[in-house]
Amino acid sequence: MKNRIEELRKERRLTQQELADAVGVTRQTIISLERGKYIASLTLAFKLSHYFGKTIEDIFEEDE
Amino acid sequence: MKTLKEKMFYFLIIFVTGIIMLIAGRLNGNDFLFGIGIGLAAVSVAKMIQYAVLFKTKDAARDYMVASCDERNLFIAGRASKLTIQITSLAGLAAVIAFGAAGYEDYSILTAVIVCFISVLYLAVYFVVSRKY
Repeated sequence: MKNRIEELRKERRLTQQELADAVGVTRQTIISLERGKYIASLTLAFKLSHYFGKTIEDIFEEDE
Repeated sequence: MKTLKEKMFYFLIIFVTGIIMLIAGRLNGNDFLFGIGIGLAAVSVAKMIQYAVLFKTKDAARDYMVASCDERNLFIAGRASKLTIQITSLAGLAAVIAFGAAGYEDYSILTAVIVCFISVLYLAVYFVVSRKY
C-alpha cells in the first residue's frame, strides 16, 4: 500500500509531530506510515483524509 | 480508553488487595499469600507513582494518553502477545521432550499440562474475543 502522506505533509509545511498531534497518533506512527512499514486503519485513513481535505483514494494507493 | 484517574483507582484497589493478602499471609504464616501480596503491592505502588508523575505535567499526560490509544502501538502489542504465546508454547514443548529424554517424567508431564493449558486458554480467549467482534 503506497501513500502520499509525506508529500501532503511537506506541501503544508508540517512536521511529523504536528501531523501526529492533529490526527491523534504518535510521531512514530506517522514515520512508519510514510515509510510504508505500517498500513493505517480505516479510522486513521478517514482522519487523514479529513485533515488534508482529500479523499482516501487520493492519499492511499493499492500496490499493483 | 481508561483515563489516568481510572487507572490510578484500579491500582489503588490492587494495592489494598495486596496489603490485605500480605497481612493475612503474615498472620497465618502463609508464605505464598505473603509473596503474592508483596508483589501486588509493589507493582501497584510503582504504577501509581508513574501516574502521579504524569499528572504533574500536562504534556506528559497527553503524550501518555495518545501513546496508549495509538493504533500502531495496539497493533504491535497484539502481535507481540501472539508471538510470545507461540514462543512459550514451542519452548514448553522443547522442555517436555528434554525432560522426557533426561528421565524426569514428572517434570515432563507437568510441563506438558502447562503447555496444553496455555493453548486451551488461548483458544478460549480467542473464542470469547471473536464473539465480541
